[in-house]
Amino acid sequence: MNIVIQSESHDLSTDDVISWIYHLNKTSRISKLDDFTEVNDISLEMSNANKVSVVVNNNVNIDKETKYWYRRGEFDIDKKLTKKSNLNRNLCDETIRPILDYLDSGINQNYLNKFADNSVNKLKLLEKAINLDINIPDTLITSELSQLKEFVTQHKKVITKPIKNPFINFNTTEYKVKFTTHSKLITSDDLADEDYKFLPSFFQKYIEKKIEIRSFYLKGAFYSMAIFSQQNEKTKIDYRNYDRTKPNRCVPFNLPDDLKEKLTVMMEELELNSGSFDIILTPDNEYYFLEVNPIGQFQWLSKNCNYYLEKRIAKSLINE
Amino acid sequence: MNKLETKKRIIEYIKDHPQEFPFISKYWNIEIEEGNEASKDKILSISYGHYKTKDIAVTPFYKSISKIIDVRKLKGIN
Amino acid sequence: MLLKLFTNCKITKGNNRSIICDLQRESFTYIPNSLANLFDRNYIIDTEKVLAQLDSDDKKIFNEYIQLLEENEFVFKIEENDFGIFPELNPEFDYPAEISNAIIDRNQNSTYSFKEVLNKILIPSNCRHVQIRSYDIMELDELRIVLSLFEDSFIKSIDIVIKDFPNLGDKEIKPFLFNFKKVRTLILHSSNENKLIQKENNFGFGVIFSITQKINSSAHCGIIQEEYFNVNMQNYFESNSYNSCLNKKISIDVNGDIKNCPSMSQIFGNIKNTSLKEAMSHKDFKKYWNIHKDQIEICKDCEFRYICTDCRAYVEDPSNDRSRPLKCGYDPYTNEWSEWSTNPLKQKAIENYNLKELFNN
Repeated sequence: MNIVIQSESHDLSTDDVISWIYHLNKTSRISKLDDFTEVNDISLEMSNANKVSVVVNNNVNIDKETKYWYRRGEFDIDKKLTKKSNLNRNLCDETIRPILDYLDSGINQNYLNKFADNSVNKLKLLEKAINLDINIPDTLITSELSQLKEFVTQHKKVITKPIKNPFINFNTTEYKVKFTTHSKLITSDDLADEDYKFLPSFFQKYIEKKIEIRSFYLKGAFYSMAIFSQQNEKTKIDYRNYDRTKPNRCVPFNLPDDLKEKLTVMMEELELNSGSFDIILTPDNEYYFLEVNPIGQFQWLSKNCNYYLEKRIAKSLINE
Repeated sequence: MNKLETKKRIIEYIKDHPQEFPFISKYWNIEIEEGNEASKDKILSISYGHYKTKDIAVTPFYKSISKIIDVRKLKGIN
Repeated sequence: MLLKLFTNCKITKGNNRSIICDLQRESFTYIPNSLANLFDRNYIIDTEKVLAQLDSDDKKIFNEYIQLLEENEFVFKIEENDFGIFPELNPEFDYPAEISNAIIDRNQNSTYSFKEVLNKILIPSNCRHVQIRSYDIMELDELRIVLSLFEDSFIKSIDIVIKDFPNLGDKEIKPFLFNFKKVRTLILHSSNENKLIQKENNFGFGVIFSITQKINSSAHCGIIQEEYFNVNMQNYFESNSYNSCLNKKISIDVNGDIKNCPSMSQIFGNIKNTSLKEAMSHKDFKKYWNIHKDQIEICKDCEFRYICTDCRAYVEDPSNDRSRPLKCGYDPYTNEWSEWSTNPLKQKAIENYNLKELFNN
């Protein structure tokens, strides 16, 4: 029985999990696929008897016994082939791409996360929350300042945040440019202009917070942490604006059972077996769902709450 | 064009062409790096043998392994 | 007003006073035992109830302490409905290795190889943190070979204590160490001055010191000092249930003998001919691992017991392995620190362990 881990070469959580794997089972065999894995050779077999077996680059074997953990990284088509010409690129798209897409979808049901989890749609998540009767902040996507103004008039405090990634990269001839942001509160200055258009942007009613909750979901179980971000002006709007000199208090938390049941249904419907939830508890004791990140950081949650998540993940990979 | 100028240019461009950017772009934190691929790999210089993992910074142990140094005698040079 | 202690702020009661260990921010604060006793079994203080029972002088003092608790963010306001949503921290200590840390002692007569140590002890036990202590001069070339070996391996951090090189200055030491990123501290003992040669190189690693202390044997170990106090979650929970020094520790002494600690006498084999499994399956190998501070005399009454270190190798009463560390000069009954080596009550043990030579420095 072997374990395949697809990650980044410098991911600390991966290293921690590997420590636990070797400690809990010395005979574990771990294959690592790091960063961009160019696929030069691939063979795949399917049968009722043996389910699906794949051999990548003649050295990584995935069969019905293999446990697969997708953490980071990506499969790539052989660059030599795609650089050649349009025809070669199209041929690769036709022949190799579907195989890689299939690998990205998780095979043999023996996996923790899959590459495809990266593209879970944030809007779909919000819709699912609504359908499951989970509170979400009123949300608006628009390209017009006038519509935003109406929204702000209605909700008073509104935040804007990126709809997908907080990072956007692009390259000039000389430099690499990286744009980053998290949530920002809209101020009256933002609304002073005459109507103009922008790319469709994401706005939500600002929800007052008693505490923020980060909850790590792993195969049906929740490991939650309360973040007391409201005492610190720096972290009040977005706790990711970390105060490293006086970190927000982070302590273990118990989500109510009925909310956990609904969130579990959400995960099952999305076919996610792991993810990190961002939830707000309001001063009126209401829980608001913000988002779930299928593949996020859990190390600080594990450390702050002594949850030993790395051990739990290792155990799920060695079949315990 | 140096980094500062590039950054200024970008900020100006965003201001002058809002229709090409999302609303939040005015709050973007803009980081500019030399377009040198090699620089990142140089930093990931710590590797962990058969674990096949790497790191930028090293992780210390959570306590002193032994207490053989009389730390009191070192006061004043820290 | 109901105030609940954050579960990562732990109160340790000592004989005369308590401390709050802030496990998240890694510091501690003194509080009186009377304040510690006001928290109920859910770590909640009902300020109204308490104030009702106090006279005006005490009311003032109480309010000052509440302010202290709030300023340090040790407590938060809780409503009765919220009692169940803030559980206590899991107090379990666990570690992804049978051995978490190793001491490798060396002198000019040592013949074992570091490669043996890595392959026979460190890798099979998953041990990734080591300290090398050399009592005699170690040639720079030999050190280079050892550090290269560890640099390529899965080892995470290395602390080195070696004798100062007579002909090497700062100009040579710094570039030498530059290539060995896993070295956290390099301490050159028996030097002619106490000097900080390099503050750090890489996020707190690569610190180089020279010290005048002449560390010529493991007899120097076992120091108990405030400077070694350690307030973090791993250490705290480990100290609650296990020996804060010996738990999951292995040592190779100058002769290549496998021990819990080089300062102890019991040998579990030699690296040349004993496997890790053989050594660890000896019935006494883990004898001291579970002895924690609440079982140790005097320490059990000390407010520092979960942030302090321990030493079973040098104890006050060598015939009693539950007696407190010999080299501790703190008295939890008076809250005073004094010099342990001149304490008349400790002289017998000092002789017994042959430690007199330590004081000729």
